[in-house]
Amino acid sequence: MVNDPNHPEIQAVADFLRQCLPFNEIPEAALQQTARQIQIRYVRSGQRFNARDREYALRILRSGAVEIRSSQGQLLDKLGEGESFNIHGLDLGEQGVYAQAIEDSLIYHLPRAQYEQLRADLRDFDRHFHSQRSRRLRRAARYQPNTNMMMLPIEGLISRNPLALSPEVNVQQAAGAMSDRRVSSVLITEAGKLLGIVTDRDLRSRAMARGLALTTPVAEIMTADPRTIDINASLFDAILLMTQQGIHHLPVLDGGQVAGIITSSDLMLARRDDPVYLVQHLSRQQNNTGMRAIIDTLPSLQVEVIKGGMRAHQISRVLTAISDTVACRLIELAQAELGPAPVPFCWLGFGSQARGEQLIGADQDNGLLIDDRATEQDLEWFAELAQRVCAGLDACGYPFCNGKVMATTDEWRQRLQGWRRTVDSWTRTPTPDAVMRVSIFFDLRAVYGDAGLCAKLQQHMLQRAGQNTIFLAALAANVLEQTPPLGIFRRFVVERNGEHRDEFDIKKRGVMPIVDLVRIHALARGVAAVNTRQRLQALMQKKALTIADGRNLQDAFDTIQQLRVENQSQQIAAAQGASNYLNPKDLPELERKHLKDAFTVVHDAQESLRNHYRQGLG
Amino acid sequence: MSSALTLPLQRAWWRRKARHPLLAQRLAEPLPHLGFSQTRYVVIDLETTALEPDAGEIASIGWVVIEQAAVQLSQARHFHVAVQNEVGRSAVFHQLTDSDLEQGVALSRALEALLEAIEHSVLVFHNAQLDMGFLNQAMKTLWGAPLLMPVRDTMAVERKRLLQRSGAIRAGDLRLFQCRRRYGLPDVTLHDALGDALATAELWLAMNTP
Repeated sequence: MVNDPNHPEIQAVADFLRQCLPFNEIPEAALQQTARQIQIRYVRSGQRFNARDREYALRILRSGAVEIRSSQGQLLDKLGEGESFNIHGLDLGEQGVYAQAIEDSLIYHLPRAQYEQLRADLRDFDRHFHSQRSRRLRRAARYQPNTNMMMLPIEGLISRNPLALSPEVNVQQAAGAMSDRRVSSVLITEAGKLLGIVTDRDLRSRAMARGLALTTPVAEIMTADPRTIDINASLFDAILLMTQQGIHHLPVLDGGQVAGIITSSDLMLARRDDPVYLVQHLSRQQNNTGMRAIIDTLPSLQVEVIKGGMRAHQISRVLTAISDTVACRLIELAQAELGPAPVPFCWLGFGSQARGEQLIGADQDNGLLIDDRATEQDLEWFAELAQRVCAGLDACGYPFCNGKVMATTDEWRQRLQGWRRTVDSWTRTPTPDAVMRVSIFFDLRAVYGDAGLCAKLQQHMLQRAGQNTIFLAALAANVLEQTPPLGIFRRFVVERNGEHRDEFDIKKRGVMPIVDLVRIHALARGVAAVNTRQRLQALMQKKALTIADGRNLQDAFDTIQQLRVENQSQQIAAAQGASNYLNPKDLPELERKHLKDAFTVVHDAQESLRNHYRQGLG
Repeated sequence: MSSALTLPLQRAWWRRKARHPLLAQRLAEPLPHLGFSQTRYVVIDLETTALEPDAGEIASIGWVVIEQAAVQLSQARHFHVAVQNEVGRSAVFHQLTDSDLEQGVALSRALEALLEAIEHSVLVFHNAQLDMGFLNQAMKTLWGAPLLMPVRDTMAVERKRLLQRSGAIRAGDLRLFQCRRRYGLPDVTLHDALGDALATAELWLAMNTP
């Protein structure tokens, strides 16, 4: 062991750094040298760092957790053990950005001089910080939704202009004022300064129950010097304080002055819109009515999160997760009454649910895949299950499917061998009807139960479809019937008569052509993914699509879906039902241009597909 | 351990007997009196060949420095000491062998470096009694006076805290890794003087961060 006592190897630190990106790439000697430059600090949960800090350093989390937030409090990134950040560097890309420890954390600081030396000496090290993180952050700043509402400031939730009375007002007057304003509490103030608070409960227990005269001044029954909360506190802080103190009303102060009041029902309202909370809450419901009540809030949820900057693919993921949860819960409830399933099975989702691209107003497309060991008698159990779940979905707001693509239809509720035969016959004789079914059926996903069964069926399907050019050509012909609504000179083609005059169906003419043509490519190349974005990724990786074509299609898809979701949100906000019809004249100039570009991309992609399958199309 | 009142008296008494200028200086300098973040701490750990100063020797010394509430690893030091007698059984604990120790430095050189490092500082140990016993004995033997410096002990702090909180301490509760876990500090591989000193220093930070 050769060891210089004055430059010791600090094994504990070096071992840790070796596990952290990008320190894992730096040579051993430089790593030991780096370890000797580290300064270690311990911070409590809640500690903030921003670019105004004097200390410029790369901070590496040895333990604990830190969140990076924009100046508006939007969550940009969450870091755990082994991850690092340089708050001054981040600030250049996103001004006002701050980091906050959300657990007690042990932080290693690499001082500026050594950090910059490493970046100058080692290209890979530099690249890691230069491009990856900052680009990720920029992207996140644009797209990241506020999924963690608990950390948002309460400012947006408080009731401004709360009812405030002076201390000499009597109990009866106070009760009258509260009734008029329909509020459950009143602040007692003097010259803008908060003296106390009186709630419904105080009127009951401190005035009426004790038989006080109606002329008693409120000052005598108020809670003096009540707990307050600062306007910059988070939702989480407010909930914590209320829970700990067992109170439901919190006066909100801004620089010592009363700015408003926040109540426990304000907080409940805020949490209702948190998708995570929704999924949790759904899975605890005991009946359809309970679930329906939650599903009914989804349109307003969509309006809010889209306004908050959530992208179409994100909201559709959330909505799909929610409909998955409803289906799972219904299956559990049915099993609780019917007894356990006699053999393994898999509840299948088709179409947009399978692709994770569901939006508001989706109907149900589902099926049942049953283990081959099931007897005829067992099948009756599954018929009953299908009955209950499909009826339940309808009751919860996912209407029955017009095309009868549902587990209640015998053809869509089969043993694995039966399904295989069905697939074989569809691919062997691609009648128009079969082709239509296939386009729904080939987007499938296990929602509940034995996912292995679903994988087997999908495997079989890919095998049959992939090698069968006649079938693929028939599928292509069907897909190419639906073109984007763009005429010559790139003018929008709209409906000429009827209810939707001057509008077009953006789902049918915009979204589905992309979904369909990406599906054909995926089938031809044996791509197992069903989500359109994931299929495009896989096709680019397999070089079945050029990167440029793949990206263009993805951009077109994102643009069209985004417009569709925003259009829906506007309809919901205007208290019309959400539909897929859109009047291009209602769009701002720039968005009209984007939409035309997107349609052009779809048109070109269709052309190339048409050329590819020309022989088969006859 | 000296109480706060008697330490200055004892220092005054011993500094005249100290035969090494650095030791005399350490005993003569004023005692630190500022708060945590303005105080310089030197967190020390020893590896020894036995548990009693009379029965064993110092085999290695490692320390790290805390300044402005941060561990400054650039000031970390780690000395392997050439022992006089064979290492014996404790090598099993410390993963040191006689051949390692043959490459060590003279104890006096390691301790001189320590005396330099602890200028105007407070010493911190996990179980100060054990390590200070060895350091005092060694200083006395070499230079005629014990190392009468202000000392903090993470083990003593934690013992007091646990007694106040639960009134009982179970076996093993005061071991360094157990103490660290209670402060949410990560598990580390111990048993090297510098590693233990660093682990103790992080615990000291956690104990003093409001």
